[in-house]
Amino acid sequence: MASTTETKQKKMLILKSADNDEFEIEESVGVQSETIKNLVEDGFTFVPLPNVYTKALIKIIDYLKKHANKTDSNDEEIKTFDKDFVNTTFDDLFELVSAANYLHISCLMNMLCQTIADRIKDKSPEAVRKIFHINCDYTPEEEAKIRKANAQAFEGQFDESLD
Amino acid sequence: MPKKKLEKSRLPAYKDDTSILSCDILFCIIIRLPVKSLLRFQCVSKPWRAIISDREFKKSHRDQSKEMGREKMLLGRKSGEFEFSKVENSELITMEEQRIPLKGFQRTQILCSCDGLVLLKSPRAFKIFVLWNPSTREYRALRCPYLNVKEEIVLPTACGLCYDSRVDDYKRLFPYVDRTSTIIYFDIKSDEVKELPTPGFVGEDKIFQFLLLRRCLCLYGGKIMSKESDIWIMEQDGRWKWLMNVCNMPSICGRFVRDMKLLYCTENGEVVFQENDTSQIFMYNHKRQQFVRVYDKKVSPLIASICLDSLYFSTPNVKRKRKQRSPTPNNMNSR
Repeated sequence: MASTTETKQKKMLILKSADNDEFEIEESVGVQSETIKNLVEDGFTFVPLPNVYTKALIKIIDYLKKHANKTDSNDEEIKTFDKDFVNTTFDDLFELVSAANYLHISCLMNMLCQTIADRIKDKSPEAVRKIFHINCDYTPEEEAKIRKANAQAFEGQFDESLD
Repeated sequence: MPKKKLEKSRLPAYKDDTSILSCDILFCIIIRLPVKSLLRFQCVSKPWRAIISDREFKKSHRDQSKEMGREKMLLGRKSGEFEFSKVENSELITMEEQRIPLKGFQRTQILCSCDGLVLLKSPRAFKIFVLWNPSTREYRALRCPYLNVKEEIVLPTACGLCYDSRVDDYKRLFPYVDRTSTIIYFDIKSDEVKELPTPGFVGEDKIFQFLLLRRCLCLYGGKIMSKESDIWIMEQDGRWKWLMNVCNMPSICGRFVRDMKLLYCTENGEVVFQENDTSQIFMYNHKRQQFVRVYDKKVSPLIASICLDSLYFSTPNVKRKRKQRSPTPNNMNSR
């Protein structure tokens, strides 16, 4: 958290997570989120975020702080940070992507969607179902028909792992 | 960030409680997948299939692919096979083999390609062309209405495909280019053929060729007998920008413009050329000013073309329905 002297100098915001934890951040950091920016423009300094849980919010605040201090010289540092940021489980990524979508942070949204896409692109449909917690709603006959129609997409070996 | 939302009525199944991501977010994720993954993931579930087979999704996917520069090199072999290949460590690597299932079109020429659609012509047929998306393997035969001249068969000197957003379809263009230094183009907004002001660098003693390079109109060439070439691209504002000079051409080539065809620019900024006589592929490293011959395990390809990784295929819905009702032996749609 920021020290009290800084608080006096800089405009601060309070973000409240879905599980009622409060976080104080600088306004300049928060407004990278379009959702927060709109609220700030309407004069709010207390921002309740009923769709974002504490765990995701902590990570997102980290991200926003890092990216608020973007300069020409720390490009490599931010790249490393981003790489670390997305190096997590699918469930965490889904939670983060939902939060980034709600908060309208487009660069984070793009990075998360691209990460998920890159990680599932070589997987089998069965693995994708498990990763996205989807129950298959096809009958075996229906599924066989689709597989047959797209036979070339099923040539080769696929990644069955769930991470 | 405004996003294209799918109509809810089309995706009734996506309301199920098992989904952990909203449809909007899922759309943003899967739009970044390559075609092969998307075709495979149609059998993940009914809602996934509904998104992937949606026409709007296919168009957005095509645009996303363009933005990401997801291009593949399509090679046509003398044996009649097509394949997707990539240049890696100056070696040609086959990624996927392709075949055209239509009879009489096995040994075809690639006339042109645009956004992942390829126009093919059989060496013997003059009226029939095939529009093909090699990524999804969809194809359609087209009859050209303008070549019904009895006396003489006039083949167009060049050929192009362009997207017309008003009718939401691709148009086939057959511009006839004369030997003067005039650039004519087809304005799809007004449906007229217009003349493009000749850029200052195109002198009378120079020959230039066209290409779409990284979504920009590109001219490359130089003096007729020269062993060097300059590459220029047209910027968004319509101004020509000098990109690079290509020199130190391989010894098997005599003159640059006559012997070398520019194919595309790789992600690393290397420029890929094809030698016209031998069909050999070369890679030019601009920084080192050096050509490297790309090693090819198989016999030389007939022709190489660049193709976007896109799901989109221009089959208007109306026509598709008509085709299903009355299956004709030759399902040709003339436009």
